[in-house]
Amino acid sequence: MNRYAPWVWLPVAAISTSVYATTYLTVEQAQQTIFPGATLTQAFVTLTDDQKREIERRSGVEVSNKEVRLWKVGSGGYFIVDEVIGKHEFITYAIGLNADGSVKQIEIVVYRESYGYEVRNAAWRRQFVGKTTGDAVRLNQDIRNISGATLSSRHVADGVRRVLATYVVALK
Amino acid sequence: MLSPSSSLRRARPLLGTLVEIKATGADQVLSAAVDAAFAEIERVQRLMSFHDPNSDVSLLNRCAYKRAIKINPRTWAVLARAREIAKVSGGAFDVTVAPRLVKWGFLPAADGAANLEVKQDGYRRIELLEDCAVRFREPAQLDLGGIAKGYAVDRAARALEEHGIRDYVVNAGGDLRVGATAEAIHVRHPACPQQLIPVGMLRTAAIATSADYFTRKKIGGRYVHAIVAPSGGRPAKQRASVSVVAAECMTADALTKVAALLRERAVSVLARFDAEGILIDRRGARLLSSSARSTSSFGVGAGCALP
Repeated sequence: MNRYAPWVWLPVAAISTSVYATTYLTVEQAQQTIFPGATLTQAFVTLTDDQKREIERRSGVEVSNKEVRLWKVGSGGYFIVDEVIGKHEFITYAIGLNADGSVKQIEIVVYRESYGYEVRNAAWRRQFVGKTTGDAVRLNQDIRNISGATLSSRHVADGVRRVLATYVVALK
Repeated sequence: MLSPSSSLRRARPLLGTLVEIKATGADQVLSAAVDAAFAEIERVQRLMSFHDPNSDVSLLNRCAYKRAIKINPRTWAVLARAREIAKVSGGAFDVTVAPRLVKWGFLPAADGAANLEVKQDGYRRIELLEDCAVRFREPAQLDLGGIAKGYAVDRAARALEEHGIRDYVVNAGGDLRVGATAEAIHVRHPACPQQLIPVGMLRTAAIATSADYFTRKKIGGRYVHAIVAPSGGRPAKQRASVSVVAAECMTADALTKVAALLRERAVSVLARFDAEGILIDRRGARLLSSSARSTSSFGVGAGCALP
């Protein structure tokens, strides 16, 4: 007997997803989620070559963009938007740092998954630049519940290490 | 009058994967409910991480052979379910196979554990005592990686329900639990993960999937799988995806390991937990179920060349 009454195994052919993206938050929503009610002021920080090298040495992660997307929080602390690229995934995430530089919260902003050359292709990635701030990226946005080993969060963990090194080298 | 309701979808890096929560409910509680659910997942991660030296698991691995150790009721509950599934599966599910996973580099090495034996019924070394205490009868290395993620999903679902949220999906890297509204569930094709196979509609239940497409490693000229049999420490067969549906995600999570190792022979074990499975490999998809309606097998679509 089937105990899960609505559970029906569907004999349906596989569907192909060469590109798949989910937008969780806009940058403004991520700010309000991590620092509710706080006043954030955008700061413009460009890393020098020395800082870039020092961050890479400390974190073991390559710095691909010397512009840091950074906001200062009125009550102390920082809000940073960063991107990481894996073999199949390209993830924009937001990280809130407390005034002492410790991690307050991390939220995924946009997750994009792709099979083929696209993720490593700079032209493909450029279509997303700037789009996370206002409009959500519209790709294949159907809601999918995928049961199955997903990609690990190792690249996000690497990105967080890079952000923490950036804090020590350039913000502290 | 009904209060205004809306939907929220959030993802955070937790449990070594991306954990996604979708929830629909009253505006005034929704955000707090999702925060509470993530907080519960973080708590389970802190307690049951193999990597964190301050977790219950690390504490037990360091000290439980010498004396009984009191642990968090959550960790104890997971150990109790792990033991039940180990017994019913004849030891196919076993939380003491960690030394083999360490040897193959799926888990980091811990002090003094390198030479521990992986053996049939190794889980019997773990003694569950009253008052949430645990003792190892012999030296052992415990790893809850095969069950704790599912438990974290269950706890998150419970946190949402305690806030009055009934419509939700909690998905921790494929260990997934659905609330009161049915959701279409897909699994990845084991040989080409960009292909999604819609396997069914799920409501008020959980599904977990094990597959090696992102985790296998090449050792000594052959690929090994992160699921190993306690008897002889052999890896599960390759290039297959196994999904299990059960009432609780913790049970579904652990039973995927049983199904990956025992395949068709897992049906009776799954039935004992009111669970069903689906196995997808190069021969197609087969249901692992004792129910009459589901004995047929079906194709999973063409167009994917096996490497």
